[in-house]
Amino acid sequence: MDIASRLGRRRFLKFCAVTASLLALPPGAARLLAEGLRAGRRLPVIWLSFQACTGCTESLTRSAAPSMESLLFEWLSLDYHHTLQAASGEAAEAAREATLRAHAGELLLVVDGSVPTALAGACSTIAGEDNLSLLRRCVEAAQAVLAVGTCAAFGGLPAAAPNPTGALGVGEMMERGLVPRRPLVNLPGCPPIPEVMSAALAHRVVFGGFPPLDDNGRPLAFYGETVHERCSRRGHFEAGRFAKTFDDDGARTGWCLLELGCKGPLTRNACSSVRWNGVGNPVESGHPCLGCAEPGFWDRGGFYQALAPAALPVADKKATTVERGARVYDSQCVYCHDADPAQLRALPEQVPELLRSDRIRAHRFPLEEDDLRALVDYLKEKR
Amino acid sequence: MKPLLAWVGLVAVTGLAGAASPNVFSVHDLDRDGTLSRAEYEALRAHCAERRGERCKAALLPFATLDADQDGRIDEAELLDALGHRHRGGRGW
Ligand code: SF4
Repeated sequence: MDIASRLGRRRFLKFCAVTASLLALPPGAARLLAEGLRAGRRLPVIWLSFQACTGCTESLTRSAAPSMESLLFEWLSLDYHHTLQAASGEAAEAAREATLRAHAGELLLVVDGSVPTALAGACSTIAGEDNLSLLRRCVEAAQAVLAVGTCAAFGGLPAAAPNPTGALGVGEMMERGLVPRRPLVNLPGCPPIPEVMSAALAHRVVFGGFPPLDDNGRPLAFYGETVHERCSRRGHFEAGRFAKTFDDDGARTGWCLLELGCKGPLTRNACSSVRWNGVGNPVESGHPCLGCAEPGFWDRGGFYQALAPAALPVADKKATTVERGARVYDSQCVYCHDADPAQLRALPEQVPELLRSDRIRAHRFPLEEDDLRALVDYLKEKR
Repeated sequence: MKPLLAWVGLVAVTGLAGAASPNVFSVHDLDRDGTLSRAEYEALRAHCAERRGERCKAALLPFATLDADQDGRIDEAELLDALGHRHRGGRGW
């Protein structure tokens, strides 16, 4: 029975469509994904966990339906994962060694956690072997490496100053020549978003490579924008409404959390667009973004310390009223109206009254007064 | 120029289509059935990139986010919910 039959055809096709859309693949890619995954080539995988909290594995196994881990197990041959596998002790180690021998050069290595390099590796060992030695042997046999979570990608919490264990991420170890170089994709996040993991894996299985990456080795489709760019509190940021404490009226109403330490403007991750299990993200739950998907995030000042104004994107500081109106048009109006605002039938000065009148079905959510004024200014300029 | 031409072409074609649904809410609903299909949404994105630049295209929510019930179409309620949620600026507590 193939993967589509086991999962149910509708669920499977929906997964392929959503994954293709998340990866911003061209039209027709969903069909290619479906065909590729159906073809049944199960990729041998070894998953190593080093200095980590197991949050990455938890994130993967706690994802919503269609359950990501069930999909993964269908198209991967997960031959070693010391948290999830049934075997333990010597049998588990033997399974890993057998896979290393049988699939040398073709297996995919997934790593979570950072690797201690100080004190001759004594800080963490598995079955008597230090983490660096184990990683080196597994990378040697791997075709490619997926560094899952911020610890594996950039060192994460274990690498925070003073970094007593000499913890490093996989990429830096390759750069320093501590392990062989292999194609590497980083999926940082503490923990990473399950859909990001499954999409990168699906891409690898079907197309044999990784999607386009940024300078930090992260897939652009998920890490190309900051959390701030699509944040649900962005309207309040633009309007200058900031919560000052966690229990003031602003916080209760959902205002921007910048002054409570939000690192969203500097953090590239898909939390705002691919929400956790489709439900929400930290910022939507009332907590500032910690910046967990960025290198060195533990050492970048206090979590609740506001970003210095100089660190904010320049465009935000310079936004004039007309620019703000253009953004309102970009983010709200274009869904229903022509992209060219000159095509609107209503005169700019009629717009506020029309929007407030509740007569137009699709305008049953109120625009803030400042946004409305900015929109009118923008529409006037475009006439 | 190609996306724009394709968009204009689609508009011209749909001008000949049959009666529109009373639920039509967007000029980008080219077949006037009251929903935005994936193809119509892609045309909208291309049109926005062409006429308003990449910033506008980037500001558009992904199809998968708007299509809350994942039936392959965005209806008015789904769009309003997503925009209203974004505009209200989070939920507060
Ligand atoms: S600063 Fe933070 S809370 Fe405010 S809009 Fe940006 S990401 Fe959202």
